[in-house]
Amino acid sequence: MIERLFVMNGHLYTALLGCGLLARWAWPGSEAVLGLLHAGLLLLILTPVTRVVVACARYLRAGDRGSAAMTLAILAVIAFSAWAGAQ
Amino acid sequence: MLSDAALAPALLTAAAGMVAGALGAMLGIGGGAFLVPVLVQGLGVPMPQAVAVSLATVIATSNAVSASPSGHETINLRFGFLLELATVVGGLLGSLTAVFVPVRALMIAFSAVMTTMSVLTFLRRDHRNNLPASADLGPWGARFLDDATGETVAYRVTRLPLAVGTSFVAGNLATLLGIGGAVVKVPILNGWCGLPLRVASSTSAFMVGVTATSGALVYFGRGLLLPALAASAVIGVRAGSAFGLRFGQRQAPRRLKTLLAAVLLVVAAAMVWRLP
Repeated sequence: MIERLFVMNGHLYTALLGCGLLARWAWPGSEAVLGLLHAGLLLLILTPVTRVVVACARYLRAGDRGSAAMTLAILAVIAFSAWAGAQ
Repeated sequence: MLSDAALAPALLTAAAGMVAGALGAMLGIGGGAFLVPVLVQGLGVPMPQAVAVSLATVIATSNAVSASPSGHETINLRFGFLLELATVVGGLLGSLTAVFVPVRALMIAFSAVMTTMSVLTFLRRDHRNNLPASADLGPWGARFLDDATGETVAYRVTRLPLAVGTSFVAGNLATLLGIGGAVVKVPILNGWCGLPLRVASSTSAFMVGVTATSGALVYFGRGLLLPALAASAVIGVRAGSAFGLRFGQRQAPRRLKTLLAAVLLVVAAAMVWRLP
């Protein structure tokens, strides 16, 4: 079920980016079009993190605390790196 | 500076994205080493914006491989997370120690290692890590259905410290040299740590996407990710990775290893070319 959602997510951001790209050529200065592209890109960028979160939830449900701790540590380091890079 | 919405740069970027996506899907490498020079030298895109687009394509390839049926079959998620932890810690330390490291010397050393790795990968192209389906897989091994042969392949992870250490160094180099660490990880995991090439490449493809996320978020937040150019590259990657996944599945590991050896050599040469 979740894997299907990830596949659909891939189609969704590709469609957003494709439509956004075509609309950008038609209306280069449009803020709405820029928003469409940004939405597609954000969806794309956040997908791997979502996979880590989903895996963490699965490990927790299965009682595999060691693997869940690994995924949480990865998320923490990614969040710290993003925060440090933004300073 | 080029216009973000111009047609010719968008088409060239999409074509470059296609090649990066195909290589990424077949070999698990990010494609940044290929895409960044095209954007910087070919289109005059400033380095930070080129790196931002490259990170977006790395994530797109990773997403495509992770969502594909063959990726789902071959990615060793739990082992990937262990290696990813080492990679992100290596990357974090790399960003803290970047000012103390002589980058030129590091680039020369990296090129030498990549050249050696290329030769060894080529020489060991007939080496296989497949075990009988009933074999003991150890704590990190797994089984998967090989599409090329239709047989169930089993493997066991060997030399765990080498795999973790390599991932740490790969994360470090990724930060210090601006390369994806997969070019370091895939040959080591396949050549010395017991992973079949398909497993090493798909697990690596998944990992590089996670690694690229923090950097991509920073570039996105700072407005350095050129939206139309990134969109063109990502659409190219989607097409290229679809081709790469189908084509790669049908190829014998020997051919893929030969291709990997060639790519490693090109990466080594590109690093020498970039020497300051």
